[in-house]
Amino acid sequence: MPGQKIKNKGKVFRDPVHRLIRIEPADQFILDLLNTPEFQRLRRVRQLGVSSLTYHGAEHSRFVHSLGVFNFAQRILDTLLRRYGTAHNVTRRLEQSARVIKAAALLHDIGHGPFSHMIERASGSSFDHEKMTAKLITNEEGAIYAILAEAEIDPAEVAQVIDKTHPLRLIVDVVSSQLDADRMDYLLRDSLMTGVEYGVYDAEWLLNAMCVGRDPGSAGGEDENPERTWRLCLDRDRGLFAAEQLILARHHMMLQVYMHRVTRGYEVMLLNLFQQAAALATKNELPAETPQVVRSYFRSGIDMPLVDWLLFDETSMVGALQVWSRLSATDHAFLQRASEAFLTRKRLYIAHSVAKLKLADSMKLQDGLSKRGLAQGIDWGLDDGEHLPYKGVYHGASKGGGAEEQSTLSILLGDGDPSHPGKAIENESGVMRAIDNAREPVTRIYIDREKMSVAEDLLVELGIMQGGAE
Amino acid sequence: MSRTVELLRLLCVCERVEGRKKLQKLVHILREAGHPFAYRYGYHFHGPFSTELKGEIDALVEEKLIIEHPGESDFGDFIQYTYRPGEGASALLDSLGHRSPVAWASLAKDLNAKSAQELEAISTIIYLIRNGCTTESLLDRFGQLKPYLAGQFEGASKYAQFLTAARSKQLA
Repeated sequence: MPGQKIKNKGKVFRDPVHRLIRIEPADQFILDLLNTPEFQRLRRVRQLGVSSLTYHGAEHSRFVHSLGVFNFAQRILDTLLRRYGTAHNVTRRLEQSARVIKAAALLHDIGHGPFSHMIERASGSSFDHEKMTAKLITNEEGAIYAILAEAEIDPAEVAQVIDKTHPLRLIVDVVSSQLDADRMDYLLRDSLMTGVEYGVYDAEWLLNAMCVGRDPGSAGGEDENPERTWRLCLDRDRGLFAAEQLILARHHMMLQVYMHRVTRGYEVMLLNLFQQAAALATKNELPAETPQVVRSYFRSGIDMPLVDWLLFDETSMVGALQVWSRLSATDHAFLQRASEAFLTRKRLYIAHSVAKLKLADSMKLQDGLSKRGLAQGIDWGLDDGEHLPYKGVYHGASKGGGAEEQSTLSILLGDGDPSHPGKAIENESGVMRAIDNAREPVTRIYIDREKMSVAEDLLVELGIMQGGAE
Repeated sequence: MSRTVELLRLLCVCERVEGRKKLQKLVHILREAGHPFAYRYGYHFHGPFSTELKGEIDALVEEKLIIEHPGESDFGDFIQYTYRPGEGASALLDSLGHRSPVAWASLAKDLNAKSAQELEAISTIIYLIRNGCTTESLLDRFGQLKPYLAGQFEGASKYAQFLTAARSKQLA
């Protein structure tokens, strides 16, 4: 693919989080990938979706985040290569896979739709951003495939890192794990852009403490390929405090930003709106004026044509909301009302915390609302923290987790020897055990403010109204 | 609500599930067979795993709607947990009007009679197929990810392909 060539000194980008992000001349393919329409589309998809309605600075895109993830991934690689030196098996294996890791880090978000997590959930099982990312990478008609192939990088292997089925877990860990480049970037960037400073942690020290250990669930037997058992760990002596800080940063960002009551209210509104649109699309009844690429998404999901996908972004989705906001209220009452409310930042729903409600009562509440004629997905929506797109902070250490849970959910501490098993951080840190025990589910029910009178007696009966609306 | 109800019904149907891994894979396979267990799964070192399901099991255990019993495991220092429905589970389902038999009951019982390793193999194969792995490359990919389950491949792939074909037919 013709385009910008990196000069001998490398290509450097200024970045508000990393200060400078450097692409080495040997990584020309990274610049080529960056210039593809699939990647440039990410300029028009914001990282935090509707959070800017709460934190007005949160306008940063998935484009800048992806560049940041690439930079952290290459810095993790540099740390490990330096630590293990030229003669080590870890170095040899990482050098073989370095270009795959860098490509996967850069491309990991290209399958996200506009207002990603709502539009994905509204589509049932017909869309999954990881599958879409893998599809875009392995699509022989697309620009990405050609660039990877020309650079002698196997697109299928890059896709395996992203869908986490790559046989070498260490490689997946760099891009997606409890200690990954993705999380390292989004916490710092979201913190900076929202102005919520709790997301800051000591990234330099965390990088400095990275090492390789054996998966706690592997037996380490002689018949096992040792490379397959390698996991990204933190050096126990150096990294404990930095890891605690990372987890605390994430915990506070979850409560302050990602699960903010107002933000989540707009997310529930969009989710309900998109679900209505998806239902209309299955009956072929989407309003005729709906932009073509939006129709294409609701009709075909992950099978939508590439040319449509490249224009399916927040611009076209907001275009659809603008069209829907002008519909006749008699034909498309909810679509019209919710679109108009979103565009003018009006809240349709009143939030009530149901975090302290027992599950049995929560079921009774939902059952009771339906029996009162209030429709889930229009008149009310349950916002359950478990739906968060971010990996759980609470689950890692619970009740002496089994081998699978420690392997999957815990940050692992090691001594730097790749043949020694990593140990879950919660076994070494009182702070981590305390966080894990301090479970704070943030579950809310959002009820249409115009229908509140119908629901009030039920909310009082279940003790939800005692604290009043939030 | 529906997925929580289905999870409780699953425990009531199976009466007893041995191990967290088994419960995770059991729900994943039922979900991929088209039944309403709407938990998001990702692929991890030990195969498909859902943090959403893990969180919900913890919450149900906390409220004693599911009983979790720790026991010895064959796997080093780790604990193996057994799951049973709590005393209030059936009454709660009854009070919410969920008395009717479920369509997936016989499949769930059949799966629960298999070992955790068999379920891990079936679940992994289904995950690979769903992520576009072709029939020709399935054996290779499975061998790379689960070399210690090589002996399970033939039976597991037949089972997985039967389930995914039935699902495709259902969707067509």
